[in-house]
Amino acid sequence: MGFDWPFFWSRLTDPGDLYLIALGRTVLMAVLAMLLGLVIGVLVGFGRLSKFAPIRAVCAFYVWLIRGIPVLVLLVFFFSGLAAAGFFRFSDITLFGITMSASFQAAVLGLAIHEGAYMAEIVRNGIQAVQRGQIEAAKSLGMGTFQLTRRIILPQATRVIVPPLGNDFNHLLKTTSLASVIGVQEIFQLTESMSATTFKTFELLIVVSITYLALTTVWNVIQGLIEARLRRHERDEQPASLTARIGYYLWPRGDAAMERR
Amino acid sequence: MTGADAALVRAENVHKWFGQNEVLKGVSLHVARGEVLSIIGPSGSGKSTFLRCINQLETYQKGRIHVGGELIGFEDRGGKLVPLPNRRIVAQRRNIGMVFQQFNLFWHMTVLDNIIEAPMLVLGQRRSEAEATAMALLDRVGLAEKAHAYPMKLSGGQQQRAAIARALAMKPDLMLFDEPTSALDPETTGEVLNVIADLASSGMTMIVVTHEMAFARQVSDRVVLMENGKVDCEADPETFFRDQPSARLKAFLATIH
Repeated sequence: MGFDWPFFWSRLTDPGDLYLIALGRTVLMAVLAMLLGLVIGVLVGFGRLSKFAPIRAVCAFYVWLIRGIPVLVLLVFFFSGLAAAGFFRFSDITLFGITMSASFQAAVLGLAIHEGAYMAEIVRNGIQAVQRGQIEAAKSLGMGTFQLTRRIILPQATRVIVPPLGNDFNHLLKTTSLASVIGVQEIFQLTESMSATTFKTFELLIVVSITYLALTTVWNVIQGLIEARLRRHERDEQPASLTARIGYYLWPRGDAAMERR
Repeated sequence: MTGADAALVRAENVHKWFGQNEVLKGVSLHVARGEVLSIIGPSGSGKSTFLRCINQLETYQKGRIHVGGELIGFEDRGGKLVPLPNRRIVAQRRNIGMVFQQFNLFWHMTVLDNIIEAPMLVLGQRRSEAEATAMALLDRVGLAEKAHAYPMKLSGGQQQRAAIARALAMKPDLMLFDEPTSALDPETTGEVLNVIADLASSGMTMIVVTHEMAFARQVSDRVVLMENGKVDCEADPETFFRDQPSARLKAFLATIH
């Protein structure tokens, strides 16, 4: 027994190509699922506020259904369930010289459909947060429904939507580990298979935990920068420097210059 | 005074219900081109609702409102009112500017962007053209140096003056003011009233719902008292405030002095 420090350090400082490729897969899976989920979320979020009752009903059903099913079940359902029933079988696709495995596609789709349901609620909430007076002003200036949606509702709803959306992405970065179950070679799956051969389970799990922590930390900084940009309208004329802003979001009370008045 | 046919706004027997509650009970009013009409009255009398029916932020259910000879919100098919499709209503609003009690500047845009937005988007103006108009308007309302500020950085009076500039940028035939100073501090009320008075003297046709009696007296060509969903009385401001030609008006003016 005991902690194998040299092994731990070598894994951490020199993870090797396999691990870096797996890391790339983790990030790509999260980003693609997020983008696809965002598209679903915007469509369903608007759909839930539609004038037409059938559209509202379909969108509400989607949210109810997906939020009631564990992601893990969804992923297995898309990868194995559909194929077993003979509905649809994912197969590897090669685009621009990069091969996307069947399990990777199923994972992205499953995660996106899961994310979409949560984002739909966030988007709906954001749209409903737009004040009626803003819409009336736009109407009084002769803007049509599409124009005022694009120029007034969406940009204002975005300010409300982005913070919870960022938290969702943080969550999603870690949820990708579930894709290991359907055979996607991301960092958690690789960790498990390495521990099966090296028996250094404890050290490897700490390495993978640190990896996830690094991913979410980088994302926190990016999220902070996006939110700061979206708060231009309430910020003072002189924006704080980039380093000050990064520092602020890592350590919110550490920099008095960023304190809001 | 010009006759009814020369009127820019002709409202005939306008009725409006919110559910069971009848808030407009047959309002008839004419506003001539270039005329400034002030509407006063207790809260709940329907004056704001009437104003909002003119640009279809609310839909009236009976009667007729014509602006510039065009029936607002409906098509008259042999005496039957058929609602217009939304795009026609959108088009009708272009010529009618509105200023709100809560200003309603788009808070995610600078003052300048607020003003050029609709001229570019709705009228298809080029940015340079829209900006030139906007800067001239900002100059007129005394806000040229605030062009690049966000609304939240401005005082209420400054926001309202910017909102007036925004409405004017569409070059409307008619301006509607819905209690434009009711949300303002007494110190900034004056600067907004000055801008509105300046606009009135420039010949703009205006309907102003207001609680500022001195302003109504000074700026209006005609003043109307609305009460309980109806026009109680109307007169030129001198007659209106000096002679107080109705018992209700006497009672109303007594409550606010």
